[in-house]
Amino acid sequence: PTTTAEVSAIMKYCHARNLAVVPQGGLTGLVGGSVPVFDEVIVSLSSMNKVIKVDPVAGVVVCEAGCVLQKLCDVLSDEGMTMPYDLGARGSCQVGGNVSTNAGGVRFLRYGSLHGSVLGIEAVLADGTVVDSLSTLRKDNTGYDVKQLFIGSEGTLGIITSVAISTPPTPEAITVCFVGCRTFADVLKTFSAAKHSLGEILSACEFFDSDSMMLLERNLGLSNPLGTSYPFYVLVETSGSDASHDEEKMTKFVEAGGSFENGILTSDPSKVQSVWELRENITVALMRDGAQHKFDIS
Amino acid sequence: MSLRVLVGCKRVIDYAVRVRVKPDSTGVVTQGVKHSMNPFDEIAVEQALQLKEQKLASEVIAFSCGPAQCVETLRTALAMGADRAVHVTVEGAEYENMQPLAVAKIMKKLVEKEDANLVIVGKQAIDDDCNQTGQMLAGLLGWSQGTFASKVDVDGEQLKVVREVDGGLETVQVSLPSVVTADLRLNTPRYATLPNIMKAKKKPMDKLSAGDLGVDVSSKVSMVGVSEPPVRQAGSKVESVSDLVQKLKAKGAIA
Repeated sequence: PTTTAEVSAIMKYCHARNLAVVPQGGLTGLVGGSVPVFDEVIVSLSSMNKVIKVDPVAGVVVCEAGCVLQKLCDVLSDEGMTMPYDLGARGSCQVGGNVSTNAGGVRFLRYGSLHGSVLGIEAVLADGTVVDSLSTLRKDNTGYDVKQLFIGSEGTLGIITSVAISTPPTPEAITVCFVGCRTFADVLKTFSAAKHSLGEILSACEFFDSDSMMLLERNLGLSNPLGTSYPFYVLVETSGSDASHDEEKMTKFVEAGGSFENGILTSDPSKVQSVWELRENITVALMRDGAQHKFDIS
Repeated sequence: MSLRVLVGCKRVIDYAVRVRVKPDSTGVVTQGVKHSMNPFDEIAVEQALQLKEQKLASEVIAFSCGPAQCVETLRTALAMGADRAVHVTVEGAEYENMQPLAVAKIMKKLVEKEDANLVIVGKQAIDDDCNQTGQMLAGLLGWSQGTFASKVDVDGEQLKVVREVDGGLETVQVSLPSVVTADLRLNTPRYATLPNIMKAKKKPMDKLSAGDLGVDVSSKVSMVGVSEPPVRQAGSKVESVSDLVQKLKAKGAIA
C-alpha cells in the first residue's frame, strides 16, 4: 500500500474474511516477528516512505512508517538534527517497525526509550479503523495516551502508518573510546566510571567478550584496534556540542583509569565508524558460524 | 644508514562525512565539517613508525601545512608515535588555492632543514586526488622515488619497493635518499592508544610560515567552479526481450 487509506481498505477486507495479516517493514528484526507462520497476508509498509514534515525549531519529524532510518537521518542532518535512536540495521530498518518493536539501539543510554521520544502515531486497527494520534506536541495530556499501546505492540494491535518523533540536535562532537577489561567486574566499574565522569555527554556504553572479537576477526576479517586480546572489551561514546569540553571530560575519564587497560580514543568520523563496526557486526560474525545468537542485551 | 623520516600529513575532510557543494559553487563546504588525517598519510605514518620499531629509522617527523587546525592532525600523528611535528602555516585564500607544487617546495626546504633521508607521503589526498606532491618533491630534490608502494623493504642503502600498477605489481630497487608514496595495501594504520595520546601532548611541535622557509605558495591555478555530479536517472523495467529491443531502438542505441 502507498497510503493509509489503502492500508485501511486492506485490513477491512481481511477482517471481514477472517484472513490473518503480517505487517512487514525492513525485515531486520532478530526475533522472527515479521515471519509469517501459516497463510498470512503480508502487508509491507516499504512503499509508504514519504517524509511528511520536518520542524527544525520544535525538533520534530513526521514521516510514514516505511521510511528507512538511515534516510531519515540524512534528511534530518540537513537541518542539524538526528533521530533519537540508532541501530546497526539503520540501512534497512524502517521507522514503523522500530516503533512497533520499541527498538532500543545503541543510543538508548542517551535518548531513552521510544516511549518517550515518539510524539504521535497514526495506525490502522485490525478492522480498518484509522486511529489518528498523530500529534507533534512535546507534551500532550489530553485524554488517554493511546499511542503508547502501539509502541512495542509488535503489530498485534494495529499497523503503524505514520509516526511523529522528536529529533535531538546532531551532536557536534562524537568521541569513541575502546578499552580492554580483564574481568566482568571491571566492565561494570568502567561503566560506572563512565556514567560519573562523562555524565551528560555519555551517549553509549557497550561491551562484548573475547569470543565475539575472535569471531569478528576470523569470520569478517575485522581487526582488534587494541592489538592484544582481552577477556572483555568496552566501547564508550560521548556526544556533545563542544569538542574541547568533551575532550577534557574524556581525558579525565581515561586518566582516572583503574578498571581498564590499554584502549584507544578517536573523534574522526571514519574511525568512530570502524570501531562501531566491531560492535554492530557481532551478530553477522556469529551467523557465519551457523549460530543464531544475538548479542543485544541492555 | 639510519633513516630520518619526514612524513607528510594532510588535513582533509573525513572520508565518512557527506561532502556538500557550497551554494555559490566555489568549492565544497568545509566550515564546521569534520576533518581528519588523509587516510593514505595515516598509512605513511604507520610505515615510518614500523621502520622505527625495526630500528631502521632513528626519528619520525610529521609535517602538515595549512591553517591552525592542522595542529590536530599533527597531534594524531604524534599520538600514533611520531617523535616531532612541524606545522607550516598557510591561511585563508592562499591555503584554498594551494597546489601540490607549493607543498613539494615547502617539503624540500624541510628535508634540508631536518636532514631527512626518507620522505613518506600518501599517494594522493582524498580531497583533490592530485597524486603529485611525492613525485614533484622527488624531482625537486633529485631523489629516487618509489610510488604507490604496497611493500617497502630496507636493504642497506637501497629500498626495495613493490608498486601497485595497472597490470599488477612492479618491484623496483631505489637508492636512498628516496621519496616513497604509500598506497592502500602498504599496511593497516594503528589507532592512537590512550597512553600515547597523553604522551603526544608533551612532544615538540614547531611552527613556521611558508615565508620563513622562503617559499612562495601563490598559485597559478584558480578554481573556476565546483558542482555536484548529475542526478542519476531512474531506469525502467521491461516486460520482454522484444520490449527491450524496441526501447533501445527508440533511444537510438541500436539501429
